[in-house]
Amino acid sequence: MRDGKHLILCVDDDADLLDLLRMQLEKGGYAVESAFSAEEGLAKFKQYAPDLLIVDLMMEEIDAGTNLVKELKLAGNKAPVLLLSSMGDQLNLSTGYRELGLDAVFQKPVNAEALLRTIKAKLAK
Amino acid sequence: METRTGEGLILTHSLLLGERLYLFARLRFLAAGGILVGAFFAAYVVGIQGLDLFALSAAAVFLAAYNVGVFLAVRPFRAPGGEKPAEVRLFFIAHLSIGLDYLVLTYAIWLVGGGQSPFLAFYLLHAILAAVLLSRRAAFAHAATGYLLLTGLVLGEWSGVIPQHRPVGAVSGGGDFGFRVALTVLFVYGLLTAVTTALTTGIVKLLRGSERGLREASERLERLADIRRSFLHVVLHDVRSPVGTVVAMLEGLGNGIDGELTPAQKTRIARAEQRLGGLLDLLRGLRVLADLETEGLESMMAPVDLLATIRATVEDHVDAAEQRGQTLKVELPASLPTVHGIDRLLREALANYLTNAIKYTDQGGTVVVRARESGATVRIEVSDNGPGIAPDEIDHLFQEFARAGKSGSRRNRPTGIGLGLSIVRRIAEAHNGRAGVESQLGKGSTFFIELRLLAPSPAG
Repeated sequence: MRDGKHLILCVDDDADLLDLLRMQLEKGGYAVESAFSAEEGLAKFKQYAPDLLIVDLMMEEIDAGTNLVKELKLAGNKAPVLLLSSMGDQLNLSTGYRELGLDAVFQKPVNAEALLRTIKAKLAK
Repeated sequence: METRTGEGLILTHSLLLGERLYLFARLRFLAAGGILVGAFFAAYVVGIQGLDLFALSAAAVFLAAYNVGVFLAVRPFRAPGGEKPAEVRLFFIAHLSIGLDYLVLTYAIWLVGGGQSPFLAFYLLHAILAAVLLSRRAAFAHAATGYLLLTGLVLGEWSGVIPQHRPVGAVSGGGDFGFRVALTVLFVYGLLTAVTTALTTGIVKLLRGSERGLREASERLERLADIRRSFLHVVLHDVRSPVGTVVAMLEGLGNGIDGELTPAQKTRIARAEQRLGGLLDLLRGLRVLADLETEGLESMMAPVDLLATIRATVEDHVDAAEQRGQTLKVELPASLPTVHGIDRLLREALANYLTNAIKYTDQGGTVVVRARESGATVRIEVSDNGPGIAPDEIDHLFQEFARAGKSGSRRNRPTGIGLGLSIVRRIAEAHNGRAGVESQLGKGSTFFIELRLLAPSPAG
């Protein structure tokens, strides 16, 4: 929590998308931290202990997103994790979602309303 | 006749014809030399009497002479992948040389005993040669020609029209089975056996060589296809990412994230989003096609919780239906058997049906998603009360690049090519199931996909 708002950490290597996510989430009443890479994401996770994470599946390095999710789990993460997936990602990656303990997977382009609805539901639990 | 080598006479692989003709031309030189050496050997060493050495030598020289022509003509085509063979010319050479071979053979056999000659078995050798070189029909034609010549020879000798040559010692019959006859029989069949074996093994070697070549070529193609598949995935990802970001930015802009817009600006943005939406649909379709081509698709299949899949996919379409003032209903049983499949592709198939139903059904219409188990299949269906589809259009609907349109009201007709339903069909087929539609004009359509259940396992 930050200033009475839920804190959301967004990890994506697409600066434009990150910027947009931040604006939409802030408009939706959340506090937002952004990270451009998996390493930065992990560091900020430890620093800020966010209430929810949004992670891009395919960043510069292949599997960076899924690896980050695994590392978060090892680091004792209890906050919900939403994954953004982009078309063209390999087929077999979709099968591991549930094992990764992910809370939702969104296909890009992400519909802002649907995202906000899901976030609200996840944080209400 | 012979030059009119239509399809019936053409071998499957003209490159091989060149190789074979070259092999046979080399053997033919051996045959000519063999006749010459054999004749003199028989006359002066074995002591066969009454051999017409001059006529036999003439036959050998004639054989060698036309073979020089054959040899020179087929030499450029002796290696596969060398010069591109002129098919018609090679076939002409094949027919001509086999025909001439039969003539020389018949003439030579006449000289060494005619109807009683042990050399008669060489007709079989020639039948084999023709069968290897030519099409089935042409080989039979040549065998018949050879047999006709043989018949003429035997009947001619019998009736006395053709004089008989019976070199003493070369021909059996007449009761006396002497040493020279035994030697001749051994020599002839020894030679025949050796030549037949050499010939057939030579042919088999050529065939195996070309088989290896084909296998290497197919492996090369396989590797290229792999590269193409990975390339497609990378390209799709790299195209989709910026387009997706732009769509999201436009959406934000349209929602007033950077301040209120005028109605005209909003309309412009909505249209831009619509156009990009079409592009995304196409990319999505291509991605599914690429997925369907994935090597070892079967091995990636896993148990799919259909109820969860259906609910999640319907959830994604609630907004779209709402925007068109439509009712999107779900009628699902309490439980469904687990099917074996690829969740993402099944979602894609259902999403396709839903998108279409929402697109083609008029404002305020109703779209219902149902699922039920029936026998060994699970049937998922999407019904609408839209315009329906004419019977003659149904047949083409699930083929590539088809789209229902005529019966829909014109202003509602979406743009873009219809990759959609063919993709659903392919997804169903990849899951060993089928996709289809039942429709009544003016009443609506029910699109369905039927997935086959696995044999019930003890676990569930």
